[in-house]
Amino acid sequence: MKRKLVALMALLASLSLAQTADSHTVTVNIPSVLQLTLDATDYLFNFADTSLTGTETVSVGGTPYTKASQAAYYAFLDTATSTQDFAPTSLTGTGGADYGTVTVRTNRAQWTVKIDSISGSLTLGNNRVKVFAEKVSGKGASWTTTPTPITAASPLTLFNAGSGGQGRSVYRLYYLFTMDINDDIPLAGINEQITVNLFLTSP
Amino acid sequence: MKRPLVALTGLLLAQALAQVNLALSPARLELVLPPGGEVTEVVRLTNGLDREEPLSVALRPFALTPQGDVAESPERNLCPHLTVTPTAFTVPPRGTAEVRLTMKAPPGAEGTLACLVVFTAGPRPTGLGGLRITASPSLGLAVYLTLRGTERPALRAKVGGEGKALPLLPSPLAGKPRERPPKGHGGGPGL
Repeated sequence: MKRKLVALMALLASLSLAQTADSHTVTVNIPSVLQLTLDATDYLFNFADTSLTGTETVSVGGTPYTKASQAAYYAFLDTATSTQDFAPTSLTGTGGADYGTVTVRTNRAQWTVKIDSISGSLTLGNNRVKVFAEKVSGKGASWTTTPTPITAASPLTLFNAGSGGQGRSVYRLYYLFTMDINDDIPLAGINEQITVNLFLTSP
Repeated sequence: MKRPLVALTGLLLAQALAQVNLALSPARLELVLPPGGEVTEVVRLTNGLDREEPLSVALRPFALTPQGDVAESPERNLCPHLTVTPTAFTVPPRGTAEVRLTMKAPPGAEGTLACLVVFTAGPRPTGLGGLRITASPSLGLAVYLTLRGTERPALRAKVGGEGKALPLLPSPLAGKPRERPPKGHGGGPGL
């Protein structure tokens, strides 16, 4: 009888030990993240550039725009009756591409990229600068159906995901500059720059 | 084998070309405190480039629009009760910087207060001559603080109409996040 009692106690003790050994702790750490990557940060419109022939174009939303150059500007002066939008002469940081690339990487469903503010002012007006965001891959949608003056709204939403925006989303960013045949350019010429603040947030 | 190699080369090239590569974690903060309570949270900024990235911090009051956008608003402003340390700092190359956010729940306030913490990098260096457009990138951290015991509903709705199916009529507070603007609209509401 005594031996059976000892065996029973040993069995109960082992069961109790087994339960302890079956207890696990599972720790999950998933930080929320919001990442912004840009390649181009410098768009140059150089109407004194002599390296281009004046026939180079950039397709923006399916429409070709002539790159800014001396030859293109002279052709504009010769024939224009109103305004013409020009593409940049060159971009810094794109490896030769005629557009900037903006990448949003996030595990958040909702996010927005907008032009939050503009620093500086151009003699011809900041409204001469137009922006166009084109979706390449990923989530969300562009708010610019056509090249839109950067002063059209403040802030100006470029593209966003209202829901399901998780993952890596890639957009091309084009800027254009509008010349008007009636512009009276100062004798010293115009060498100016503005800074556009690109803002990413998840509400 | 050739395709992954091309993809990897493209990825590495894109990394090499990037002028800005900034990540914010967490992407937003939602906190609950009793009136008069205080809490400190740490936010991490990561720089994916091989050069250092100086950042400055600014606070902006905001509210969510019915469309789910962030819009500047002085109402329900958390910013006076939020302290950020440091307010200017440099993220090392391929490194991370930590920022501490201390929030004090103001006594007497109700519901949810909000503040946008904006991290802005300086404009990138440019060349000379011509008309130039340069970019300065920002990341915004939405911070929400709800005062415990004073919560307000995020959605108000009532049943209305006639017939077998009675539709829910949302109040002005309600609304779905919007992904596209109305046709012909170049810009949208927001901050």
